Amino acid sequence: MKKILIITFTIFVLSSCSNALYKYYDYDNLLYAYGSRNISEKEMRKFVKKYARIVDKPKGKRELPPPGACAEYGYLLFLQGKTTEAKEYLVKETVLYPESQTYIDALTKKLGL
Amino acid sequence: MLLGILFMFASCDVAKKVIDENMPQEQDATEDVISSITGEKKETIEDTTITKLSKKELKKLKKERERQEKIAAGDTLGFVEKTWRKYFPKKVDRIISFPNFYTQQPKSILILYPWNRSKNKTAPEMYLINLSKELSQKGYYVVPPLIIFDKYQEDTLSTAQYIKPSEAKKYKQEYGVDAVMFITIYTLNKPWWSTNINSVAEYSLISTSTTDTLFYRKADFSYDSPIPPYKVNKSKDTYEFEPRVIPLFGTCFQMQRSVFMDFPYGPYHKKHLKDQKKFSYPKEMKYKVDARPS
Repeated sequence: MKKILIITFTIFVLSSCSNALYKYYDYDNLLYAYGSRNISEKEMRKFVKKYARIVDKPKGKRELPPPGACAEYGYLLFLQGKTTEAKEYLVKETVLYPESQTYIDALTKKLGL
Repeated sequence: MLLGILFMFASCDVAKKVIDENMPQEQDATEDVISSITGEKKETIEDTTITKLSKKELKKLKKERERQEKIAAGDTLGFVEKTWRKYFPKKVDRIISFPNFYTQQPKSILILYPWNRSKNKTAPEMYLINLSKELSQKGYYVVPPLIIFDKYQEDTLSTAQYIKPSEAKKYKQEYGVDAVMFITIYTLNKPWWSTNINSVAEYSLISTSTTDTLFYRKADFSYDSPIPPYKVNKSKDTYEFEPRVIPLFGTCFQMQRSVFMDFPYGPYHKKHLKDQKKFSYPKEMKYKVDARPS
């Protein structure tokens, strides 16, 4: 009985472990919708709300937002007119991933932030 | 009557002989003239090298020629070994397959908007999303696809079709990336009469500092299974996938996982540089996921 319990517990622990570095939630659905069709302003608000989970509740092995997520979120906030928040997230991207500095600088300049 | 016919034949024959004798002959007289001047005898060439071969010998000769042609083309494997290698490819270490990769160690990657040669209009989006996710999970920094979509729509970034690999250096300045991924999508379709979903694409990762090819692969991926290739996030919102898109998106997702299975790990992964002696696939691969119940 003890053995069975140990085996069941091990299987449960192993199955709950994921090798993924980042958790993407419903990133696929959102980004596919964004890339393949026009999104209205109302939809965009909902979209940003959904996207916030990826950035604000990071999971996975690294427990950090995936590469580019903060930049994307910042850009989406800018499209909504939230410029100060947008800049914050763009800066956060460069802090988390220093290799993004070049294009984030160019993007910030282009957006006039 | 009979005598008449015989006379006709005889006269025809006589007439033919007379014509043949009196007609001028088409001969090259130059050599005769030269020989008459120099006094040398005219050379007569006799072909003595012709040897008649038997059918068996001819077959042998043909086989030998085919073998030599194969060797010249670099195809030295026998039929059995060739068939074996088709299904069980020779194990090659990643350090041998991607030597430039380990010397240059790229950290950040820009995936250019794919060149879509398929009939599926949204195939580039599917590839971009899935590939950027896959490379991020491998430990690389990937320029976010949402920004690529917008840049492409603004016409400030063209597709992989219009950019030559030698021009990759300019992305080092513009985006600060170490490598650029070029994708060409050939097919991504599911015929209505079949359960098989096929996707063919070509990938090449070019270094922005040296323009060397760090990674190249042409993949032919087929997914044939009643099990959906992708688990959809069931969220009750407007962003849910259309039912017809799910199998295609799922196949694309499975394809990236298979193609980049042996892709070296990036600097954000704990296995970075520890996978040099691991198995690597050939450059051109046929992947088939066939999980149909018997």
